[in-house]
Amino acid sequence: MISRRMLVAGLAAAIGAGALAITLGHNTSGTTAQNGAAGSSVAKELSDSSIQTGEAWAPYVTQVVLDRKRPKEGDGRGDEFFFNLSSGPYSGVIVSADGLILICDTILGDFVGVEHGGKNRFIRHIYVTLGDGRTFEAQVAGRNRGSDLAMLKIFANGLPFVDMAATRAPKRGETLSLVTRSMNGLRHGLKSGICSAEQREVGKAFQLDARVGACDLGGLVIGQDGKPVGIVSNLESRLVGQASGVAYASRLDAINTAYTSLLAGEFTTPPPAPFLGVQSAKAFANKPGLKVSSVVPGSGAAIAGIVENDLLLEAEEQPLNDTDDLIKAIHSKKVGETIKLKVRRGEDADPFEVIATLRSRD
Amino acid sequence: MRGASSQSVCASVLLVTFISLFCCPAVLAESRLEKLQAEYRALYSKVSPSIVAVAREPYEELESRGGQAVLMSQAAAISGFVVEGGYVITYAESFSMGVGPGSDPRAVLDGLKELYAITADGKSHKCSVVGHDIRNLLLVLKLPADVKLPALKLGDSRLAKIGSTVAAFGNSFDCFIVDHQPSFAVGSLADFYRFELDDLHDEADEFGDPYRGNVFEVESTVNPGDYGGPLVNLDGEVIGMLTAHYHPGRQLGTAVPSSQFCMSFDALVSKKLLSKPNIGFWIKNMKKGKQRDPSITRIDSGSAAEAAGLKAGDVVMMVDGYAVDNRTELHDILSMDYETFESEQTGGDVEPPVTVKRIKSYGLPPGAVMTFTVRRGEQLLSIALTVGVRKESAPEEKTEPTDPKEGGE
Repeated sequence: MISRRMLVAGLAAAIGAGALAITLGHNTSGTTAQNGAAGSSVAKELSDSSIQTGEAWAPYVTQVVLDRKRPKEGDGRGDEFFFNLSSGPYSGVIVSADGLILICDTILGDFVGVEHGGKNRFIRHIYVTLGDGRTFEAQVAGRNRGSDLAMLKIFANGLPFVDMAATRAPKRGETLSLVTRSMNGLRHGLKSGICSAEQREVGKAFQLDARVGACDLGGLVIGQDGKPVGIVSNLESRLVGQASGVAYASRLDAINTAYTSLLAGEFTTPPPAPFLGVQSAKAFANKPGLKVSSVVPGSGAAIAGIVENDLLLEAEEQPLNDTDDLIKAIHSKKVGETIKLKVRRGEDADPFEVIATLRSRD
Repeated sequence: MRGASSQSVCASVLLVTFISLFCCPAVLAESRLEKLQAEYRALYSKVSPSIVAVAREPYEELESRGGQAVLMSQAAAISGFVVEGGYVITYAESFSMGVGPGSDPRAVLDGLKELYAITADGKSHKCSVVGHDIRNLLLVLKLPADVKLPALKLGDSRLAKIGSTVAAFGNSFDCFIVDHQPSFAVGSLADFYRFELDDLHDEADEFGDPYRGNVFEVESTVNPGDYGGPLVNLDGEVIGMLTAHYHPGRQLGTAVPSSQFCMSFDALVSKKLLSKPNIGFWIKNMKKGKQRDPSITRIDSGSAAEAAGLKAGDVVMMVDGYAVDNRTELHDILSMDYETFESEQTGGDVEPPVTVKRIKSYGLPPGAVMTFTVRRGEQLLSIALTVGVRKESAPEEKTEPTDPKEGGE
């Protein structure tokens, strides 16, 4: 350990010397500007606080590099979506002292074989670089597709780690910082934004407005109080790469079961989510009822005969006060099961019962 | 009456107490926000007189066409900024591109003799071209002797910290030409890196970027027309020049760090030759099973590699996160000097396909910071290396012939 530290210190000194070797020939009084005390300037105070957040959390964030061969025409890999997005590098968060690294599952893709030791024809090696320059070859130690998180394992001890199981829920409007280590293993990156929505993807994620790109996947999101609130994931795959100002981060407080199974080294592909196939909106201010605005052709709702402008009053004999009630009712079931709905068609008509089969989205 | 009056006095005292108890924090908060805005305005006032728009034609020509795009896709002019000595720093690629495939940007820039620097009042100043360094995307102009514009101080970008507040100034979508004022955007410094090298071998890939230096990534906006504008810190010192180069997986604006282009700027204004890059290691392929890993056999004393802490025996695994398989690949990735490659263009029904010369690399600028990941014994280490300056007597590239046998030196 000591020799390793000395080595790192030596490296730092050498890097410093390298930087000094270049003389600029300019007055560089900028030292105080960037490093000095906040003084009475509000702008500098905010700037310094942002610098400090980044520096405080940078040691917990790693770079994740997938060493893979680019697809060639005709080898069937051209469709792999992430090659179209970006090939990284990405970030990861250290979640245990003995080298468990939490990442976004999307970056591993659908490659069969990743589960068996982390190597295959397409991903030859996975490298994890820590802020101090130590680099490790990692193995895939768990995947949870449903929460879009995966776990890597490196052989290291005594690492600083984040207790992701103890993260709290973010609040809407809260200012957030996103700490990454993707493009440069030896330096961290920092983006900022606010929490735009506390619950997306049935509560598994929250939305933030930082301009997140594919390389930010696996970045650590820090709340206003300087504590972690989540990790950037790709639960809505349309968003990343669009510069849409919309990004999702997984809420570890809401997906504790998935996180626990990842810590235990499990590889899980979730059952497909049940899908009814209606779009609806609250119809009245103070009484139950959802007005159907569209029905997906071929969906369970369409087959059961639900049409546009129908009023959904109850699901499983519970009143539907808003769309969340319907989503909850659907998600309490599995694909293939049925859901009982009370429907009214026309102003003065009597309500009638509809039994729809829940299918998978595809 | 008296009672009513004392009641109202009481009420107003209560009201005042209420206001001071509950509203003061709000008033304070507002003044803090106002202070912040005043600080930003002060920064704008300090920096904006040094901003110019840069174009091939004078203001009247551009204005008569209503700012119709001629240079980059969506702006008729780009940006520049005045530094000490009456020099203007601006962005070279806007003037080296779009002159047909196969042309050497350096030759195009050599042919450029004068450009116009346009100030916010609509005056055009015919500037002579001092020189260029395409490796840094840098073009330097000289204002006429009688034109005195306030200069910006060139800061040291190596001291700029990630997360610090920065401001970008420029001619976003010709706002300078059309509305006589530079655009001003505030954001934070988000990252510092080199572009991904993954696309290097995919000749058809349009994202392959010939720029081999570092970029600052900034959260403030960078739009067409802003290229060449300064990125300044809160003291108004230049820490970067805004560029059109960005990474498809990142989404933010970028700037060339000042510490990287300052060396070339100094050389250009003092009419010296541009320094060539130096790394200073010797490489040969080490055979290991089917693999041939590029291994460092020797480090030159006084070189960038030595200063970085690279050692003989280190096996190079990655450069800036891009996996290296053998010596040839390492050579490709480093691409120290200006390099082109031939690429077949098979667009539409063109028969036979046309071969075009494309630029693989503008060359590695001295001062750029690279990350080498090496295997040293059982350990993997990532090491930052600042590209040094090649001594003129030293030979260029140092690689030894491949040794088919396994083993060291």
